[in-house]
Amino acid sequence: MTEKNDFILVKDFLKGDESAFNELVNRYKKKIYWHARRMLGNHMDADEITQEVLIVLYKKLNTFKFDSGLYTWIFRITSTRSINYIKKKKLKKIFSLDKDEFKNLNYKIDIVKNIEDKEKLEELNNVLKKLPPRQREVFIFRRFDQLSFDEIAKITGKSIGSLKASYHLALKKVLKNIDDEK
Amino acid sequence: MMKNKDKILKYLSGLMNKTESEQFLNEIEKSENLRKEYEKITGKLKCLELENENIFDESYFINLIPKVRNRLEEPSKSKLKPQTAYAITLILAILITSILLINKFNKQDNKVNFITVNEIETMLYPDSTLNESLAGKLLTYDLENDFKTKNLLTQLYTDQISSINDINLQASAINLDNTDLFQIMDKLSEDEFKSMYKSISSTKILR
Repeated sequence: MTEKNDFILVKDFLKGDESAFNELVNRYKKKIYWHARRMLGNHMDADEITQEVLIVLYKKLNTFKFDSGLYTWIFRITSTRSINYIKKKKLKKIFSLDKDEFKNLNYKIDIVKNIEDKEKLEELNNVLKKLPPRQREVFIFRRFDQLSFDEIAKITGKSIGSLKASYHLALKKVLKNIDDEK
Repeated sequence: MMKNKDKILKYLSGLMNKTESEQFLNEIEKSENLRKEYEKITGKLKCLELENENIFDESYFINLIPKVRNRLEEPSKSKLKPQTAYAITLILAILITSILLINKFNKQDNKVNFITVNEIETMLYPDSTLNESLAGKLLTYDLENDFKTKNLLTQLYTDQISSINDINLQASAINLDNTDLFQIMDKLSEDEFKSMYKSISSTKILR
């Protein structure tokens, strides 16, 4: 039912109905944000990716083929953008372009105000940042976005077997990292 | 026998088939140890989850659409069309490659040519059996000064020939007076001689 509504909204938007786009954004903005947030570990980067994804959505919806769910397409964009962002940040770090002052700013600006939740997110970030980006991606899709391996396979284009193996490895590492943190 | 932790991780990762999964769930019901371990692991993972993702600053999400709309309305920072950008990149790449290739060829042109003593010997005495030591001696001459006087070869050979004991070798060396090389050199002007010297002096001779 949801998929059908998505398709109708996309078609309406392509016909020029701007409110259909707003409706789509309202439907997916939080999912995009939280996926990016867990992938990148802070609000500022997640905000940047969320906005980028929504801009891509606006500009490229005309290329969307109705052969898969819209959420698959949106998650694919979010995931690719997040992983590319991680790579860019790594490069910046290597060339020392990532200034400490910006790092501090990243942690100050946040939509999470509750200290307990902040600590939880911080702990999650510490645990996840030790995973390679691809394992982190699978772990987040499965654990937090509650997607099935079949859905993750459609998003990432990888086989279900390799995704399960990746998730198994990620799970082992996460549990070890949780113990190390304590 | 698989450890409890391995079993649990395999189950959670979806790596068990249907029968294995059913067996695992039966085992959890029967084995307290396995159940405790399972609860411990899932509890640890649960700790990473937030109670509710919707309780946060809603104003951020409300303002998201206007922010995106603003960004969409902003004029593109890059005034270049993608096609133009590709074309410029391509031209630059071709230019850089050409410069690199030209440099490479220039380097090859400037490369010092090495010739061996035996090759010089063959050039100077094509019909002779002159030995290597004589050719070596010939090469010890100060070419620059001798070229200037235009009498280089005559002087060179006169001196060297007198030091040769073997009569046959002396004869072959003297025969050089009649070679084409000498005739050509006599016809050369001072400037031509100098330029010839320059080209020879840039050639390294291996001994």
